[in-house]
Amino acid sequence: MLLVIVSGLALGGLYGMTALVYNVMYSTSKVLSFGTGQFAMVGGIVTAWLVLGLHLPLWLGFVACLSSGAVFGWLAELIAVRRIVAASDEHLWVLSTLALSTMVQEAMAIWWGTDPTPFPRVFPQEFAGAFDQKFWFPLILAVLMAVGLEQFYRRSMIGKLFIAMSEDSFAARARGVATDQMRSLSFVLAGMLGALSGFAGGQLTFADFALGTALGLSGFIALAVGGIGSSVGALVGGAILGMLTSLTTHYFGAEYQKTIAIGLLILLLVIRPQGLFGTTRVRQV
Amino acid sequence: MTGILEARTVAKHFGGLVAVDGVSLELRPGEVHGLIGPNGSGKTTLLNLISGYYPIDSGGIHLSGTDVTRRSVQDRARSGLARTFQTPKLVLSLSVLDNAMLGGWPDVRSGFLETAFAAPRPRREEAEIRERATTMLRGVGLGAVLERRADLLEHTAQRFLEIARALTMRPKFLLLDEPAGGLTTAEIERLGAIIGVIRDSGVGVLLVEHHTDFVFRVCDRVTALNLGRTIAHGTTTEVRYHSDVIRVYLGA
Amino acid sequence: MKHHHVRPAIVGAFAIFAALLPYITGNLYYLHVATVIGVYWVLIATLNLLVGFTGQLSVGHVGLLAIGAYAFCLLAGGQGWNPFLALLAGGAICAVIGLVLGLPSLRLPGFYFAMATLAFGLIVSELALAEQWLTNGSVGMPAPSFPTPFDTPWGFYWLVLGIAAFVTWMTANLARLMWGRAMVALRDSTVAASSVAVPIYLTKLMVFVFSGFTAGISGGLYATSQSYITPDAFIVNLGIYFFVAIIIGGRGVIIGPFIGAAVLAAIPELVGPLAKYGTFFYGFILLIVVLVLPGGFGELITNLLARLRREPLVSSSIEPDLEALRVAIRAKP
Repeated sequence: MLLVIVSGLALGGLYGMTALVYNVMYSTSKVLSFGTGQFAMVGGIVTAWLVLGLHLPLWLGFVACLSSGAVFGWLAELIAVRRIVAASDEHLWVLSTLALSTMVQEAMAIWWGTDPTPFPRVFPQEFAGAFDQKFWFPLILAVLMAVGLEQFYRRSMIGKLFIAMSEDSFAARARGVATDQMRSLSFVLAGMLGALSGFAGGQLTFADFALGTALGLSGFIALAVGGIGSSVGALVGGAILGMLTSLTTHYFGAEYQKTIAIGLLILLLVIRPQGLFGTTRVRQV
Repeated sequence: MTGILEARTVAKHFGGLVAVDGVSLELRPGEVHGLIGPNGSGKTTLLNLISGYYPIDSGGIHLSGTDVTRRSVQDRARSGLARTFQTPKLVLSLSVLDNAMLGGWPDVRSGFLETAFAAPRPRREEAEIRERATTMLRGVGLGAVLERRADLLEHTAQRFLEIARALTMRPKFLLLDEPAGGLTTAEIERLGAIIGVIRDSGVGVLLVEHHTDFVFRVCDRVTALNLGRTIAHGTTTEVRYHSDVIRVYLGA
Repeated sequence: MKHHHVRPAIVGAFAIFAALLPYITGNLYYLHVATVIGVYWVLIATLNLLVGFTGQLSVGHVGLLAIGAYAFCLLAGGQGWNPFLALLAGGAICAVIGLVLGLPSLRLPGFYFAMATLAFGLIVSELALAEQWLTNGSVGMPAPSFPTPFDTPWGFYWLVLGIAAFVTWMTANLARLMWGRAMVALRDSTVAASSVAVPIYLTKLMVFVFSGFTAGISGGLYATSQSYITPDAFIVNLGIYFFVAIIIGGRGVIIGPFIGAAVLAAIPELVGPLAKYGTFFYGFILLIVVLVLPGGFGELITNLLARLRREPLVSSSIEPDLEALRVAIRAKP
C-alpha cells in the first residue's frame, strides 16, 4: 500500500510540474499550449540518448536536457505563439500549438522510435520499492519547483513582470515592458522546467515519444483541478490526480486511468469551474 | 404600463466602483429618448443593463409590462428589444446581407433538422427574411453593397449595417450606443433622418450619444447622467437649459 | 451566403464523375481509397459544421467513429441485425454519447473543450483495448457486409457515395439557410449572436449531437470498408487528420474541407514509402495554414474569385431610401 501511495504522489509530482509549466506560459501570454507535455518528452529522450546511447556523463545529459527544453520553448513561442497573440482570433493558438506539438511528437517517433526506452539512474541504487529514487525525484522536485517559482514571482524583477503581464498585458506594454521578450523568456523558462520534469520523472515514465500528449492532458487536468495561476493549486491538483490514478490502477487495473481522470475533470468543472485555488472565470455560457 | 420600456431605480457596481446608482428611465413607443452624460457617467453601462449583458444589482427592467430583470439577452431580444454597439459587432466573414438577415433570427421557427432537410418552412422564412433585410438595407442606404463582405465596409457603413440588422428584428425598442461615433456631418444628418423615420413608425428609440447638439436636435425627451446618477430628465428644452446640465457640460 | 455557394455546375460535374468512378478506373485499390474518402467525408461534413461553422474545436471525434464502428459490428455481426438498421442504431448511440459529452464540455472555453474532446478520444481507444468482453481487445472483430447489391466493392462504393451525397445535401441546407448564419455568428461574435436571440449553448449542442450521429454512421461504413476493425485503427492521430482537413479546407465553407480531406488522404499515397511521415506532415500543413492562411484554402479561393470580379473597395456613398424604410418598419404584425 505504501508503494501505491508513493507512486501516486510521484505521478502527482510529475503532473504538478506540468501544471506549473502551463502556468508559466499562461502568465505572459494567456495561451494554454497544447505542446506543454512535449518539453518533458524531449528532455527525457535527449537525456536517454546522450547518456545511455552515446555513453556521455550524466551531468552532460542533464545540461543537454535543460538546454533542449529551453530551445524548444523559445522556438514554440517564436513559431506558434508570437504572431498569433497579436491577432484577434483567439483560438488560433490552440491550433498552432496543436500543430507544433504534433510535429514534435511525430518527429521524435520517427527519429527515436516508438518503443519506450529506459532512462538512466541518477544515483546508483541496488534496491527497489517505496524508496526507489524514481518516485522521490519527481515528488521532491515538484515541491522545489513550486517553491522556487513562488520565490521567483515574489522576489525577482522578472518574476514580478510576469505577474504584471498576466494581470494586464496591455497596461504592462504601455508601461514600457518589452512584452515580446518577456513572453519569449517565459517560454524558455517553461521549456527548461518542462525538460527538468522530464529528467526527474524519466525513471518512472521511460523515454517515450507518446509521453507528451498523455502528460499534457494529465498536467492540464491537474491545472484545472488546482486552478490556473496557482502554484499551490498545481501541486494539489497533481497530487489528487496522481493518487486517484494510482489507486484506480491498484484496484481496477491500468486500463481505466484516463477514464477516471477525465471523469474527475468533468466533475470538477461542473461543480467548481475555476478549480480549487483558481480565480479565473472559466464558465462562459 | 403596456408598450413601455422601463428601468426602475437600476443600480450596478463593479467591485468598489458604482457605475449606475439608482437610475430610472422610461422609453415610450414612437419617441426618441436621448441619454447623455460625460465619460464615465454610466450611459453604456445602463444600456448593457437594459439589454441584459450585465446582471443588475438592484432595481428592475420592465418591457411592455413584463419583468425582464432576470431574463437573458436572447429573451429580451425576442421580446422586441434591439440594440447597436459602441464598436459595431458584426460577423465580419459574412456579407452585408447575411449580417442584416441575422436580425430575422428571432422570427425563425424552423428547427435544426427541419432546416437540414430543406423543408418548406425554413425556405419560406429565408425568403421572407431576405426580403425584409434587403428593404432595411436599402432603407439605410446600403443597397449597393449587399453582397460585400462586412469586413470590407468602411466604418460608417458598418454602423448603418448594424442599424439595418436591428431593424430587421422589427423591434419595439431600439437602443443605439453612440451611433454617430466617427461619422461626418453629412452622415450624421442622414442618421438623424433615419432615426426620425424609425420614431415615426412607432418604435421607441433610446439614443446614447456624445454629440449633444445632435441629441437635442433629434430627441423628444432627454435623460442626463453624471457619475451614475440622473441629474436631469424631461423634454429636450427642459434638459438643455437645466442648470446642472449646463454646469456639468461647461468646458466639456 | 451566396459566395459560399457551391456552383451547381461544378457540383453536378463532380457528382457525375464520382458516380462513374468505378467505370473510369478499373483499379480496385483506387476505388478503395475513394470509398474511404467518402466514408471519412460522412464524418467530416458535419464535423465541419461543428468546427468550421460553429467554431468548436473538437479534436477527439475519432472516438465517435470508433464507437460507431464497434456498435455496427456487434449489432449487425454478433446480434444478426439488418446492417442498415445497425448503421442507424450506431448513429443514434453516437448521437446520445455526443449529447452526454457535449452537455458539460460545451460550456467551457475553447482550450478546455478541445482538451475534453481529446481526452474522450483517448478514453475510447483505451476502453476499446481494455474491454475485451465487448471488443475482443487488440484482436479486433470482423465487420459484416451489406446485402446485395452492396456487397461488391463498387456496390459498396455507391452506397457510401449515396450516403455522403445525402449528408452533404443536409449540411449545405443548414449552411445556406438561417441556421448557417446563426452558427457563423456564434463563432465570430457571440455578442452579435446573442443580440439577435441566437441561443448560444443550445446551438452548439445541436450541432455537436448532429455531428455525433453522422460520425456513428461513418463508423459503421468504415468498419465494412476495412472488413475488420482493431483498436489501433482509431488512434488520436486520425482525429487530428479530420480536424486538419477542415481547417486547411477553410472554415465556413463546404467544398474546402472536402478538398482538404481528399488531399490529406492522398498524401500517404503520394509519399508512398514515407507514409509514416504522414502525421508529421499533417501537423506541418496545419501550422503553415494557421500562420499564413487562417481562413484556409477555401478563403484563398474566395478572395481570388472576388479579386477577379474586381469589386471596388471604396464604398459608394450611402443614400438612404427613407420612404422604403418607412413602409417596411410599419409593416409589423
